[in-house]
Amino acid sequence: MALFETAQTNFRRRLTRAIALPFILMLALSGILFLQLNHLLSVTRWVDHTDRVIAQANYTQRLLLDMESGIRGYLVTGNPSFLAPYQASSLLIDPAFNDLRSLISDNPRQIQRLKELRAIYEQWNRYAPSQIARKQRSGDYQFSVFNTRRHLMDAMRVQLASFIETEEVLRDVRTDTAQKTTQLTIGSTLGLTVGLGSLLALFTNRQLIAVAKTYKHALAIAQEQTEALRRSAQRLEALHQIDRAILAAHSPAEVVRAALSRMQRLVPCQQAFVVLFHFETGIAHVIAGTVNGDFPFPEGATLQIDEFLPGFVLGQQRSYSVENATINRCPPAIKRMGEGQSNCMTIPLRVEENLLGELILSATEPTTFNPEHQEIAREVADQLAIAMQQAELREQLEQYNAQLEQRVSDRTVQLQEANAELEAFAYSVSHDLRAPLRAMQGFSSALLEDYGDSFDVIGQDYAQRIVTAAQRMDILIQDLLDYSRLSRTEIRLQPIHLEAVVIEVLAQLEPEVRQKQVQVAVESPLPQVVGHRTTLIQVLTNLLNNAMKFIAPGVQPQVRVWAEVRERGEAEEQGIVETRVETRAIASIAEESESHQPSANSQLWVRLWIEDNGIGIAPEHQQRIFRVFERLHGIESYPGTGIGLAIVRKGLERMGGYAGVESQANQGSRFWIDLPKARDEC
Amino acid sequence: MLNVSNYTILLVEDDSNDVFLIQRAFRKANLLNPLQVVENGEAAVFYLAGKQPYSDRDRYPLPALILLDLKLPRKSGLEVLEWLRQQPDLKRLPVVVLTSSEENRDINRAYDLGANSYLVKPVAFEALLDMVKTLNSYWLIFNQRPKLEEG
Repeated sequence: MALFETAQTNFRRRLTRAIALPFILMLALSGILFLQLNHLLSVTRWVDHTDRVIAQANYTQRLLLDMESGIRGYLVTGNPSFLAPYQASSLLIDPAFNDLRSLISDNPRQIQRLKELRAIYEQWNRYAPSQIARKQRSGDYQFSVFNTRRHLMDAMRVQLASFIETEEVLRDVRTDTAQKTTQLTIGSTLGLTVGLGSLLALFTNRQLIAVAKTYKHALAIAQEQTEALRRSAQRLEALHQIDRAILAAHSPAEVVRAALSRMQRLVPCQQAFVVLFHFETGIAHVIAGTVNGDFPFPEGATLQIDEFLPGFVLGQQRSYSVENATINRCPPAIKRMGEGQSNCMTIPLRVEENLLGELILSATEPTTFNPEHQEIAREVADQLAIAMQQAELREQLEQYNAQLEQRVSDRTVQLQEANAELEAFAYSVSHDLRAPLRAMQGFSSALLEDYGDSFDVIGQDYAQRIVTAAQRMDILIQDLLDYSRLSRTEIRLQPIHLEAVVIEVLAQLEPEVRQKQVQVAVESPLPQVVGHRTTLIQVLTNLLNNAMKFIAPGVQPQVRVWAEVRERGEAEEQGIVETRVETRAIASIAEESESHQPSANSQLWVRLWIEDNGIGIAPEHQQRIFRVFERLHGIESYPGTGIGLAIVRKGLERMGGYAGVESQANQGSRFWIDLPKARDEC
Repeated sequence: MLNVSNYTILLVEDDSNDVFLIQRAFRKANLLNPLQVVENGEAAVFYLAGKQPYSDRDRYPLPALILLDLKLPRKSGLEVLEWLRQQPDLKRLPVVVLTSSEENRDINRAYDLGANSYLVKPVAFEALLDMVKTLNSYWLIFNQRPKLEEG
């Protein structure tokens, strides 16, 4: 670009010179011409001046002659009309002399001559009035005077003639000077014009040639730069295409083919191919290439690395590159390619410090790879190196992915099998485990009824114990089935009227409520929550049952149910609550943010409290009570299977909620469950 | 009023203990209805179809009510039910499922296949006795019997 700017400056300077010099020369020529013309004019003016002097002299002479002839006529004839010319001219003669005097003021000789003339004239004119008066008086004239006057007149004539002659000589001289000056002016003007013209022509010609040269030079530079730009754009476009081809291609071979076919439009070569090196095995692997004519290494061919990296030592990563080398300096593999090859270029494919392989070009032309071609090849090699590595990484990733998917599907199958087994187990428990129980229970009842009389008290007690145990076993099985069903059945969350559910559960528990004379206070209204109705009923049944069950003897059970709407704090989300027992267990954070808790960030939660005045739970036991089969009391004091609170925990887990307890021993318990609040429109 | 005690009840039950207890409950409840017992699903189908060895309708009359267990050898209760509902002459027979499973899928499947009622065998004998009494009064006394033939 700088080169082009220099040319431009040069060009401008020359052009300015080519315009400015003719202008200056024209100005100079005009000055000279002006001066010469001025001189010519002044010379001509003098000629003119002399003409005017001569004319004035002639005029003065004519006036004098008129005066003389007037007087003479009068004197001869006595006729006064002859005096008219004399009178008219005598009025004009003085101004005429004065004019003449002023005209010749620059010429002292003529002034002298005019003075003399004027003296003669005054002498001559002095006689005139006396002669005229005499004629008037006597009718004659004095001849002597007449004669004197004639002499004086002649003298004046002579004087005037010589005056005029002098002026005429002067005029001739001046005319001559004017003529010469004119000729000189014309001549010099012509000369100057021709000279300057030629000079100008010469100069302009030279300048124009120089300007043209500069222009041509600038044009050449511009063309060169444009060409360079075009080539650069072409290269960029080609590299871009290669990029796109790399992105579009799936296998390394496709990537290589796409890149090389585009590169060959920019770099003239007959063979172009890519080999990848496996340094562990010492093998070079031909990935792909674009080739013309016979090519000894098809795609997928394997060669020794030595063929490409002479002197390669196993395990030692070496690389060298050969650019625009004659066939002697090319790697053995190229030499093996045959007679036709005369030039080669090998560019290492390198990512950071790792040598992956080589890009190899070979050509039959003796001088093929100029620096630009080498640069293009290097750029392509760089891109290919990255693409190769990416392809490798992608392959690895796909492999990992496939492995992972395989593992997931294996696990899924295992899980499905485990689930199916669990199902089968539950089914079997449901059907088969209770049959012997019924037999035990049924036959011991029958025994008691039909043969009770033959038993003593101990025998009856034994039979009764069998009945009771079988019943307990049945309840246990039923609870276990309930618990396992919670995990097995699919639940769909939807908005639920909490109040309706509480009322329904209390209705189910009515016999117990009545039997134990429980005071139940539900603080309406209870809000809507998102949950699963059946599960929620199960949960609440267990919680309310608990609240009525664990009461000190002789105390009237009092149960209070109320709800509050709140935002779950971050500490609670993470399960770090000091006095409360977080029972969300396995429910992961990820599961929490799933569909059933829309807009979890600003989610409002409902906490339902169930408070009793029972025996309470010591803090150290609060974690345990939510586990399966965990019991704090003997079966005699507080019957139960130890599954109820495990059902509460599991139920809330399935609904994406939480459960906990606040309690102290002997101070009653406050169980709570948290469920997302249903939106108002629900 | 017809003498409901003539109506035969077909009990499909493989567990002899259960059979014994149910029979005892019938006795305790003073029900005199003939109680025919078959021990597997296939036998139930043969009985209802009148095939050997149940071709003698005098000895093995068509029941007014079937008490059907679900978990049976050879052919399950659900299969028996499915078959029954496809028989033009038998499809209206009232079937009460009497089984130990409380699983929802059993309950729903039974109703889908046309069970008229679903009862879970109680463990306590007293409860069983109550159930048998109720069965008698509901299905044999109050319930209107369908006509078995088409039309």
